[in-house]
Amino acid sequence: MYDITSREVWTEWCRQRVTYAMLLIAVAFGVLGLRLVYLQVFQGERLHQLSENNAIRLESLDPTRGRIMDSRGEILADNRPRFDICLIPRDAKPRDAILPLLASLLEMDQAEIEKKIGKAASFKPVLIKGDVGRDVLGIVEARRYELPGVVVRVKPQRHFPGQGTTAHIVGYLSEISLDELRSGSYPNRKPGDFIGKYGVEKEFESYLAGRHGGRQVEADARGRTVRIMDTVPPKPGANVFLTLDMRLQKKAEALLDGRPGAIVAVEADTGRILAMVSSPTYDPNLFVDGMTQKQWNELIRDPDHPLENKAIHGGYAPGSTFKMITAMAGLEEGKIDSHTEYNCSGRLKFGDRYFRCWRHWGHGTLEVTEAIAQSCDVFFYKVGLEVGVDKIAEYARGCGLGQVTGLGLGNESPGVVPDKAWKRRVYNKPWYQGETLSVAIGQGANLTTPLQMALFAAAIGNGGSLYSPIMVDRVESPEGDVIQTFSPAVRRKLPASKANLELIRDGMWGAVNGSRGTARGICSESLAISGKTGTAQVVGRKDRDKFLNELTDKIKYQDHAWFIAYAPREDCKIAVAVFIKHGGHGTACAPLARDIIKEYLDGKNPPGAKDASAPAETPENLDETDLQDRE
Amino acid sequence: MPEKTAKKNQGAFDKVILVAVLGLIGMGLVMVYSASSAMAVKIYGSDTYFFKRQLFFALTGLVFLFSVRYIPYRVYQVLAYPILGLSVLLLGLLLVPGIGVNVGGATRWMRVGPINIQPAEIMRLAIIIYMAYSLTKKGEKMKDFSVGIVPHLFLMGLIGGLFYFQPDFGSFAMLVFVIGIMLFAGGAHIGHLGGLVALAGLVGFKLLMSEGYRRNRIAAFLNPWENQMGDGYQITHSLMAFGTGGYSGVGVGNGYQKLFYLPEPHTDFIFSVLGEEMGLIGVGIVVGLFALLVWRGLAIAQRAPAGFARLLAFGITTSIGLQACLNMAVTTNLLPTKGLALPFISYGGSSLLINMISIGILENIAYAHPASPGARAPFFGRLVFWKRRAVA
Repeated sequence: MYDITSREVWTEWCRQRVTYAMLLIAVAFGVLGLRLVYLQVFQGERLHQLSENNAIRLESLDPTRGRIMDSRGEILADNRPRFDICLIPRDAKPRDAILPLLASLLEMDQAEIEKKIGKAASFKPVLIKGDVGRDVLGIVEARRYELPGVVVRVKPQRHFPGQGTTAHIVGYLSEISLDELRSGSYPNRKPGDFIGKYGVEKEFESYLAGRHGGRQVEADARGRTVRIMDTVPPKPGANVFLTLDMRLQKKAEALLDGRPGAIVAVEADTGRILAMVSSPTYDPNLFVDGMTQKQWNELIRDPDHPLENKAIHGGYAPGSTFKMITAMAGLEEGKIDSHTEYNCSGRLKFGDRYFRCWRHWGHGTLEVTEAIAQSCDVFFYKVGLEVGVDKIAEYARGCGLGQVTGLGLGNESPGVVPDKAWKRRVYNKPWYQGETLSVAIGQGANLTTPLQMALFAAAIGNGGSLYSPIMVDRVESPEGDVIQTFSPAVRRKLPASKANLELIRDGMWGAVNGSRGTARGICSESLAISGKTGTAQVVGRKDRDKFLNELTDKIKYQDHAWFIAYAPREDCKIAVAVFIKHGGHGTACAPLARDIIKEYLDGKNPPGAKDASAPAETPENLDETDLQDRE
Repeated sequence: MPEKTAKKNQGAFDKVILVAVLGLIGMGLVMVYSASSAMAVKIYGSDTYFFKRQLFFALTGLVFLFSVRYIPYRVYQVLAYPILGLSVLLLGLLLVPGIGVNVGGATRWMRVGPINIQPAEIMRLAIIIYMAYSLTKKGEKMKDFSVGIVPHLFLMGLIGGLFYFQPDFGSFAMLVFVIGIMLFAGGAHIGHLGGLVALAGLVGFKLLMSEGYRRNRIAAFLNPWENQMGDGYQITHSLMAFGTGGYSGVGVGNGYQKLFYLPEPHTDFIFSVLGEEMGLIGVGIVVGLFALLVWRGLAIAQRAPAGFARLLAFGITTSIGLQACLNMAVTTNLLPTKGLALPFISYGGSSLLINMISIGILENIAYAHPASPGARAPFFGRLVFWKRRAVA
C-alpha cells in the first residue's frame, strides 16, 4: 500500500482507482456480452425449442379476420367455423380398432391415415381430414367413445357468401408462401396462415388481419393441456365497408350472364364505385378451401380468363366511345365549332385507301352533335386529320386515359394512348397519317379499361370533374368506431370549356334520345340517359366478315361492344361503362347500362311500389338487340 | 491549465454521451411501447398509456438535462447536506401511512398529483453528491478507519433502515454498491474496504436467508428450470426470450414472452423483451451504448480536477453503468432476480428524470473541464501501467 501523506498523492491515487473501476466495469460488460452471445447464439435454438415444448407452453391465438361489407352492410366476406378431424397418436389405443372405424367414418383408406400419422410426435394432433362437413362431424362426435385420441379442431375459415359476385374486388386469401414469410412484410405470420392475396383482402390486409394473442398453458408429460395460466386475447381485425351497392352488383352480374366483359358503375359526382363486375367470374372460396389441380387448370386455361378483372386489367380498344375525345380536341383546338359541317358519303379516301363509315351508305351532312349521336366515322376521320394524333393523345390523357386511375386494387392497367413519340418508343417506326384516322375513332393502338371509361363518362355527366375512383368507403373497428374514411378527390378537370362540353353532352343525349341516335332503343323519358355506343374491331372488317363466314370459332373475331352512359342529364347521379368482349355492336351493351341506371335511380327515388317495375327488368323484354344473335 | 485555453473549449457538449443517452432513450421508448401495449390495453384500454407517459417524462427529462447542464456543479458541493436531508425526508415520508402507495406488498412510491415519485431514485443521486462532497473534504484522511469508513457506514445504516421498511432490497443493494465503489475511488484503505465487503457479504447472506421470498429467488437463480412454475418463472421466460431472439430478433412488437411476464414486462425485464424482439443486434447496441456512456463518463472524471468534480462524475457514471450491468445480469440469470430498472430504457418517470438530471450534471463537469486541445483520449493501458509507475 502507498503511504498517503499529502493531498497530491491522494489525488493521484484517486485517479488510479478510477482507472481500476473502469477496468472492472469493462470486465463486467465483457462478461455480459459473452453471456448474451452464449444465450442468443449458442443456446438460442435450445431455448427456443424449450419455449415451444416446455411444460409451460405458449400457444398462438389467431384473431378473427375483419369482415368486408358493401355500402349497406351486406356481407361479402366473413368467417365460418371449419372442423378438422385430428388424431393424437399416443392416445389412440388400441390403434387396430380405431383406425378402421375412423377410416370408414371418414370414407378414407386406412393406409392413407397411417401414412399421415407416420412418425409424427406422439402428443401433437395430426390432421387426418380437414374441413369435414357437419354430417361427418356429427357421425364422429356420436361415436367419440369408440375413438379415443380423435379430436375435432375448430378454426375460423374465410368464407365468401356471394361467391363470384364480388370476387374481383374482394379478392381472396390463400396460404402464405415461404417468400412472403421471409420478406418481412408479414411480421406476425407463421407457415400455414392465410393472408390476402388479391383484391381488398390483399390491399387492406393490415386492417383486416387483426393482432394475434396468446395463451400460456401448462401441459402434462403427455403434452395435454392441464391448465390455462394466462390469456392475452387476440384483437379482431377491422371491418372494411366498400362503396359497392350489392343490388347493382348482382344486377350487373345477372345482366352480363357469364359473357366475357365488364360493367363499372360509379357515382357521378364522387367517383365512388357502385358496381364493378368482371365476367366470367370464379368462386374465391376455392382458394381458401383448397382446389384440385384440375379445378386450377380449368381456371387458368379458360379462354375467357375468369381470374382477370376485366374492369381494370384488360386494355381494350374503346371504339366510338372515344369520339367524344376527338370531338373535344377538335372543338378546343378551334378546328371545328358547333356549326362545322362535314359530309359523310359512307367512306373517306385517304391516300390510296378507303376508310369506311359503319353506315356504308353514309350519313350525309352532319355537325358535331349529330356526328356523336349517330357515331359517324367519316366526320371524326376528318376532325382527326385536322387536329393530328399528338393533340388527340393530349386530350385523351386529359380525360384520364393512358394512366392508372389509382383505384388501388393492384395490377391496374394504364391502357395505351398512342402518339408519335409512343410509336417511336415502342416500335421505333414513324407515325403514318392513316393511323391517325383509326385513332380518331378509337381503333388502332388505343387501349382503355372499362373503369377509365366509366370515370370519363362520369366527368362528362357531372360537368367536367374527373374523380379518383373510391372503392372503400370506410374502415371500422370491431366495436364500430370509424378508423379511416375515404373522401372523394377530383383528379383533374376535363380539358374542355363549358360550352364545348355542352356540345358533347348534347351529342351523347342525342345518341340515346335523338331520332337517329345509335342507342335510341333505350330511350326513356324518366331516366334521362345520355350515352355513347362503341364497337371496336378485333380484326379488319374484310377479314372479320371472312372469318365469321368461314370459321367455326367465330366468336374470337366478333367486335368488342361498348356502351358508356350517365344519367340523369342534369344533376347527374350515376355513370356506367358496359363492355362485352366480342359482344358485337355497341347497341348490345346499351340495354344493360339502362337497366343498371334504372335499378339505381329507382332505388334512390322509389317510384311507389318497387315490385311494380320488376317484370320490365328482365333482359328478354328488352328492345331489339343482338342479344339473341349470340346464342 | 491556463484560463484562456479552458475558456476556448468551453460551451461544448460531450456529444458522444448525448448521442448514447438519446439512443438509449429512443430504444427505450420503442420497447416500452412494444412491451407494455398488450397490458396497457388490458388495464387502461389504451395501448399507448405507458408509452405516452414515458414520452412525457423523456421530453421533460430533456428539458432538465439541458437546464442542469448550465448549473455550475459546485453548487451541489455546497448543497450536499440539504439535498441529502431532503432525500432522507422523502424516503421517511413513505413510511407515513397515507402517503406511500403500496404496490404488491412494497411501499416504494408516493403519489404527487398525477405522477408517482420513487424517492429511492432521488436518494441515489443525493448519495452520490454527498459522497463526493464528503470524500473530498476528508481527502488524505480517508485512510483512517474512523474518518474514512465509520461515518459512511453510519449513513448506510440509516438509509438501510429506511429501505428495510419499504422494503426495497434492490435499491438498497444498489446504494451499497455505489457507496462502496465511491469509497474505493475516494481513497479508503483497501484493508478496510475488504473487511467491509466481507461483512456486507455476511449481512447480505443473512438478509437473503431471512426472507422466504428471497431464499426462493436464490434457489430459482441456481436452478431456474426446476423452479419454473414458481420463482423460476420470470427468469426461464427471460432466457427463452433471449434464445428465441437469436441474431436479429423476431421483430419489434412480435415478441411472445412479453405477454406473460408477471407482473410487468416493461420495467425490470424490458431487456429480455428487447432481446427477443431485436435479437443480439439490438442487445449489442444497448450494451455498446452503455459502454460508450461509461467510457466517456469516466474520461470526464479522469480529466476533471481531483476532488469533488472527479468523484461526482465518477459516481454518476458508475452508478448508471453498474445499474445497467446489474439489470442485464439479472435478466440473463448471471445474478439472482432483483427489482432494478434498466436506466433510460425501463418504464419509470423518476428513474428516467433522475438519470437525465445526472447526465446534465456530468455534461456540466465536461463543460467546465474540457479536454485539453490535442490531448489523447484516455487509453486504458497507458493509464494503468504508465501512471502507476509514475506514482510508485
